[in-house]
Amino acid sequence: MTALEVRGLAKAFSRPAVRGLDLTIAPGEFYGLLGPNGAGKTTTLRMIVGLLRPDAGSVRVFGVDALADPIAAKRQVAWLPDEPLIYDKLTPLEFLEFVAGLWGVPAADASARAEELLHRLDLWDHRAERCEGFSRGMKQKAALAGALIHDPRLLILDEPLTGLDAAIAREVKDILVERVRAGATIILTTHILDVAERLVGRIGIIQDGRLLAEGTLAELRGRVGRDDSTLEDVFLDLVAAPAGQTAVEQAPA
Amino acid sequence: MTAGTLRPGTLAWLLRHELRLAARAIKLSSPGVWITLLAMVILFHVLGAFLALGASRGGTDMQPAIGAMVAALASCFMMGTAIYRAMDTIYARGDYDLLLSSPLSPAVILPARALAVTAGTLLFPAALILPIANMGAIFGHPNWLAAYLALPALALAVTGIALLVALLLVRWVGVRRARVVGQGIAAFTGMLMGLAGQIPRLLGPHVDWMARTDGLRHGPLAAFVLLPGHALLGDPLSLAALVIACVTLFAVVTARWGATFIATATAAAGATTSGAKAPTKAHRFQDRLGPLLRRKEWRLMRRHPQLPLLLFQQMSGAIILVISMQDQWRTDPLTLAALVVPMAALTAGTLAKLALADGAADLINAAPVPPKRLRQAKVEAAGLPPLAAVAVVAALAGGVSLWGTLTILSCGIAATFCAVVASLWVQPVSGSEVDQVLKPRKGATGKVVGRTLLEMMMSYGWMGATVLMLHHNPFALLVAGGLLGLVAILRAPL
Repeated sequence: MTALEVRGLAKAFSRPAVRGLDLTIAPGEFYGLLGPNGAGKTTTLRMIVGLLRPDAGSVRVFGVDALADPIAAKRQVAWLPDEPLIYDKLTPLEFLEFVAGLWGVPAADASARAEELLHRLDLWDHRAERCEGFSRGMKQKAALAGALIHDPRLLILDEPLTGLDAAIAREVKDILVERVRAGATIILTTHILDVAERLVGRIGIIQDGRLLAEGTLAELRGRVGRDDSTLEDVFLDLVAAPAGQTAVEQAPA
Repeated sequence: MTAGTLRPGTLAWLLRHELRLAARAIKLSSPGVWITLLAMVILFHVLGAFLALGASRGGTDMQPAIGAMVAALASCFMMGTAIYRAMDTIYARGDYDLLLSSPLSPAVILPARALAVTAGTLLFPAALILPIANMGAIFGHPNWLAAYLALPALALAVTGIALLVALLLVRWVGVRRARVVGQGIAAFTGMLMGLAGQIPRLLGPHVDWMARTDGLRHGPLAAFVLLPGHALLGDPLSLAALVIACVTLFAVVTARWGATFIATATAAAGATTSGAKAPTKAHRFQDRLGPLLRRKEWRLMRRHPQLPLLLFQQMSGAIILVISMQDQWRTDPLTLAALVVPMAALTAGTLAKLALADGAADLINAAPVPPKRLRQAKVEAAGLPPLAAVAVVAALAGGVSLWGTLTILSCGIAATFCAVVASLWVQPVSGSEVDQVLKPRKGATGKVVGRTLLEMMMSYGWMGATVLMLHHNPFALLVAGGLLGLVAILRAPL
């Protein structure tokens, strides 16, 4: 069973944002979804987590049809966008209690997990302060704690490191790697290609709502014919290629 | 000087920028808005014509007193608005860093911002009073056009005082509480206008109102008290004195306390409404989803900085109603108890709006909880506190009659339901903590005002139905049916 299977996903606003996108991600995989601004990354992720209804296509999360049974699919997913999804007027503990309740985590488990996460993310001393006084990094850590409190099988992160200082970014990256080692699946979008290069196992590059290329860094290097190049070089070569030369080429997962 | 030729960095240039920002917050491109504005201008001129004709027939002895009263009422209203806008200038405008990091002279920044506050403050009283001056000029009182100078002068003075009030509040009650307190004072000052109209009623019919004010009109303070009245009516000396006094006050405040005000505003930009708090007791997690959702909504409602202001505004309407109908309350206490019905409805509507402005809409939409369940929790959170108040009053009404208890309870439930449904007519606002009601998006102002008026009409309509029902008047069923029908038409996405 795949962690995520997306087939023929399409969404148009005033213009097509995603056009017939196919993605297959295995359980325990750390997958990086890259693309230039406006490529359709966030729209794709928002459709996967059930925030947007696709115009066409299907989404299956651990075998569950996310369009037919969104509640069952959502139970297994956590969503962390670049703008922290928290309530400024709640304290971190109150926020985690609320999120745990939404995902049906028993109170005793949620309480223990919240304490563990807040200690891990250096927020324990701030547990009784409202989030409105937090820095951006602290808010992002509180949001990350919210995403992790229900122990999701699939973690979807849209630019999670935007605006974080080096220390907090390192902390977040360490936690994500730990989660993958523990068996979780992560899909991450980022414009910081060094991060993607060091963290993710497989990379999908989308442009104009279509999958441009997919594979490990080595496979993508092979595709552009530059074996010693960085992900940044590969990415720029791929997105700069003329439209006729950007047929989807998927390496085996 | 045209807008294009204004020299960058000057007071006029910055004022144009401020006014442009203010104007763009209002959508004036829709024909409906222009038609409404035109209709209001015509209506106020017609009303102004009647008032001017009435003044022409009356004696001239009372005219300065009436003029002074008009100036006082307008100043009360402007003071409420100006304090609100001054507090808003301290907290809501985050561009001080940009302005202060520019080579712009600090001596220009506060006067420009203060003048923008004056313009916003002046708008409504000018729309009410200037048509009267226009029609007065047509019907034999050309000197009434002095209102075109006197009103802006009063607005300048009011703005100066409002800036001082805002500064003092920040100093006395602290940055965190000053906003809420300021909004409360603003609402109360605005409400004074409504209460002032009830003074003769409060004093009772036996009081000779003319005799009471005789001392003010003819005593040693008469020249001072009646100065704004004389100025509004076009007495040249009074007008000159008023304009000089008001402009001086404004200039002194902006020059003397301008730097302090800007320093306060920049300090407030980083301030929050809650400070660091040491945890006092262990936080117990809630297991059941329903109570958890309601508790979260109540926490957010309770901590919403504008909740006290919204509730106070509603209460002020009720206070005016209580005073104006005090004779009836004394003989019929159940009618007084019926006041809980519109209060509950208006409170429920306010709470529903606060609940709908979800600061993390994407979070709850991504959660494995049916949207209907989430909406239901918001409805419960908004409806239960006002219903508790209805239940208490209905129980107290039981001391008078069982019929009173049943009527107040049933009408209270129906009115609360209607208010919540009317508020849920709009979809939740996604994104950051944008409250569509308090800070309508561009173009949404008309809808928000319309919905607020509809809610008020329905809430007081339910009070009417309650009073009729208490008096066994069958017309109550017609009113109640009409209100329920209206809600059915709205078809809220419950």
